[in-house]
Amino acid sequence: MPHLDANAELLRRQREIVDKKTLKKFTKRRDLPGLCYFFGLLACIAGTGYLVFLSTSWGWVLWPAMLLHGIMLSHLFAPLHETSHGTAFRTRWVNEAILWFCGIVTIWPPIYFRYDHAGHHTYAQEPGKDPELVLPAPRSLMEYIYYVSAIHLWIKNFGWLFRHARGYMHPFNKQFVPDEDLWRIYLEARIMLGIYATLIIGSIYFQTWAVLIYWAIPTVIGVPVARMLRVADHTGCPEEPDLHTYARTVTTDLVTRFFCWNMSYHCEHHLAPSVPFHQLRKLHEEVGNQMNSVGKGYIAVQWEVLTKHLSGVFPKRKKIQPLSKKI
Amino acid sequence: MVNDWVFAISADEVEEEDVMPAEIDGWDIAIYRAKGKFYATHDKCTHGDAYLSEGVVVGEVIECPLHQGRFCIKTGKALSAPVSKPIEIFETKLEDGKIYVRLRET
Repeated sequence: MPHLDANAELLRRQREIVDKKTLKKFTKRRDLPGLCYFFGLLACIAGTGYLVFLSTSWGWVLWPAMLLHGIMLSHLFAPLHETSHGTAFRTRWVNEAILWFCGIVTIWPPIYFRYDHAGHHTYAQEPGKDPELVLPAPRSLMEYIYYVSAIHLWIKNFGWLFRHARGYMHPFNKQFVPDEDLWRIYLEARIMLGIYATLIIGSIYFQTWAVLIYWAIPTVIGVPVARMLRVADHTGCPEEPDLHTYARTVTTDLVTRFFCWNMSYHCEHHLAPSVPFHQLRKLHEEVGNQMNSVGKGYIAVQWEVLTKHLSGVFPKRKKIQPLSKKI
Repeated sequence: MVNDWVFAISADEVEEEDVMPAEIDGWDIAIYRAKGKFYATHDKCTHGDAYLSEGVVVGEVIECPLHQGRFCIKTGKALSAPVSKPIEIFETKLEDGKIYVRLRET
């Protein structure tokens, strides 16, 4: 079974870099750091939401306010990611409640994302296997724009929701989900679409623009910033299963680390996904010299991707084939 | 497989809220200590074949080191995705600072 071999190999490579005893120092679960990060982010979202409120009668000023608000909203992907791993909080119901909240707001089906992301950790940077390597690099300017603009994100996420809601899953996605759990994914999609339909119908019935200006439009125009941060995680790194090199640890400031929940330490996260986000910096201090710590910030990495890793304007794409076995 | 108690590991080798591996008659077993009690399960995760003894114990839950699937160490029940199949559990007893496990008959 190829995925079992891949998993065993991944753990073997992890142990070559860090042993269990060392790792145990960093895997302890706590609620307080996650609550501080989450409610800190919510406070920022509330603040920018208030700016949107103040801007509603100022004409064009509404748009930059919605952009700022959208950038804040897009960072809810960070707690979504951490809670999908289940490592952000010690108290399980808190973890699951925040996972669902973030999934609904950012329009990521949270339970399916958990399966999909597990596949990403097994097959990171393996073309045709890694479910998050949707663009093999991106290798062209058009692919980069397609990725950063998040057009692909909306096609992918709404594609998941509509397909799953009618009880169908694409064969490539299905390989990551056990048959006995498909019903959960289908139910999740129906619940989420039901919530969104209720918001649309409620907005029409009450004749309010609130959902559009406080959530929908900001989400669409703000998410490219979060996508640009994500480009730094793997784009341009070798497409081979090497824990040392297939991800990138970026040097950044305290504020950015707060908004991305320390995912700038992306090598360390892939090395040991059991380590909660608030311990990644300490893990980096322990093993960072063995990892792909590029010593650059997000802007410098963005420039590197644009100038070194793109070849031409238009893409040459290959069709992705599903694996023969489930992950 | 006999239905007898078999020595697995010394109790002092397993810290509170931790897990250690033990090989018994060719079986890979994970021995847990949680809230002062000892538990045993099969060591291989039912999802990705990772060793649970390399995972993280949180209360009475073992979290797989690879994909963070979670099992109850008392019942073996799969608690959250990506795991869905339960893990096999075994009886344990503590005598003279030693943990014994009773494997099922096959």
